[in-house]
Amino acid sequence: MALVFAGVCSHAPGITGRAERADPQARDAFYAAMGRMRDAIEASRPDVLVVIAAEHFANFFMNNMPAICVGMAEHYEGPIEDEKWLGIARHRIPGNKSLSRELIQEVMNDIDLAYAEEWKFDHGIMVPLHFLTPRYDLPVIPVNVNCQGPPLIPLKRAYEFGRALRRACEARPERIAVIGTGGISHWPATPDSGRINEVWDREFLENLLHNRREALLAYRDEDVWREGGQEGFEIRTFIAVAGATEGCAGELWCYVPIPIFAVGCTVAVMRLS
Amino acid sequence: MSSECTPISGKLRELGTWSSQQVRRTGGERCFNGLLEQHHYLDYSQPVGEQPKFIPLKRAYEFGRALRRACEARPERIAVIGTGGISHWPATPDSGRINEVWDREFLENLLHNRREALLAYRDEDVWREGGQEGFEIRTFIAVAGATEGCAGELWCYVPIPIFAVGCTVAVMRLS
Amino acid sequence: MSLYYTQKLLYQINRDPATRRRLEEDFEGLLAEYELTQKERAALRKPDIGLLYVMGVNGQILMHYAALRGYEWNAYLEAMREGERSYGPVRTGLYTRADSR
Repeated sequence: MALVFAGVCSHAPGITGRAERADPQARDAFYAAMGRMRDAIEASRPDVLVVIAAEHFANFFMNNMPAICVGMAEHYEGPIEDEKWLGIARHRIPGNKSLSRELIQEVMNDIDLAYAEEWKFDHGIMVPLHFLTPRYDLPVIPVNVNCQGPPLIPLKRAYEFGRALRRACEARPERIAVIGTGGISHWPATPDSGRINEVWDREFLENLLHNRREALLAYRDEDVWREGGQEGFEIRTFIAVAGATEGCAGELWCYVPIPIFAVGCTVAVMRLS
Repeated sequence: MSSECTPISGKLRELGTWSSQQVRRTGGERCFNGLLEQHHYLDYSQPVGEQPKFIPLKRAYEFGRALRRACEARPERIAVIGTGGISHWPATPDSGRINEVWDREFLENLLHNRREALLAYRDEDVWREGGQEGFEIRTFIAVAGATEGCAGELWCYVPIPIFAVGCTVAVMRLS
Repeated sequence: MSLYYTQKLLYQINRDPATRRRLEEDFEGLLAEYELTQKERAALRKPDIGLLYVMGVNGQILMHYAALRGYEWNAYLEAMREGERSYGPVRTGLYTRADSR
């Protein structure tokens, strides 16, 4: 039955961890958009949610850093961070090992992957799940794209990964939802935390939501770093979703810069054709 | 847990009532694992286990090609070797078994850098003819990719059972 | 490779409860297991969040160590700023500033 939902959203830890410090109006608008995304995912009746995330040294370190890694466990656990710090209680999250294995095997024909049978989710996955599957009852298949420890994969490989994932999904009877999570411009965990380049973000979202392949793949790391910060490299997760929805356009449901969350809080959904 | 494996013969109806039951991912998983232990590496018809198979051979070859391109773009002088077994069954009761005919055929393909032939090996066949460690041909195939279009020379192939492998040295002629 | 091991130790502290217990019970023993310079040991011990940041420790790693050692969010941001004032710009890695690159 293939891909039944695709979208992107933010995952910054401040979204849950520093919620009370945000402008209530901006925060609630973003939370409402995440609620709308939850409803849309539920309405698509998925068997599994694939979360393409950018991990932050929770499971993978530079002793063995996979370019792309896909989870293949029966279940996962998260958050790995302090529960109070993140504002999310620890949960066990169901996986779908056999489907993971099938997808990995299929994607491997085109993209070299690592896989992991053990994975503790950090905020990159837990913050979206907190809003999108608050009962933690929907099986999740995590994907990590290394956006932290260079060398990073070229954007075209992130896009190709998305395409390969789509092909793998199309070959399956299960109903599969996919989200990409990450920031566009942001400088978290630096003295510039809270800086947000709204103009650059909106331009990127335009390219993403019109699925302009050429424009998306033309971003150069030097420019991303300058305009979008050291965490702007996370656009790889969004670009993977563009690859998975090649030829489809999308809709922006929310973009609101919230400095204390250190990111322009984003919710966007692709119209699958 | 072991299971009774004595062959029986007779008519189906003489068996009386029988039932089938899923054991994987249930309390009966041990039964499956017991069967796995008994039969793994013996006459199982294909690789078993939970892991995905390995990267397709074409990806190993493509990795070699990409590595070659990366090397060509550098001023440094770079040497590359691939290491692994061809057929071998190490770390099993069959350690020391070596399929010389199959090995030599693989080496022929490698040293003539026959891309099509190298990428046509199927995992099931490799596993049957070359053992569970025969999958290491990926390392040799990566070298074939890195030396696409080049032939090579076999400097040594000698089966040494206590080393559990047909001991091989071969060198590609870079053109 | 010393910065590597500084980050590796923090990574282990962040993800592994047993390593966090060792931090409380036998910090010196834990430090001794990693190939670190005297300066790095001192910065980790104190902790000098600003210096660790300037040394080039990845923020996603340092952020959790700061929280573990009791730094509230704003205090943590201020510690990094203080580090830049005292020790100069970030020396290596993704967190060097555009104008100092």
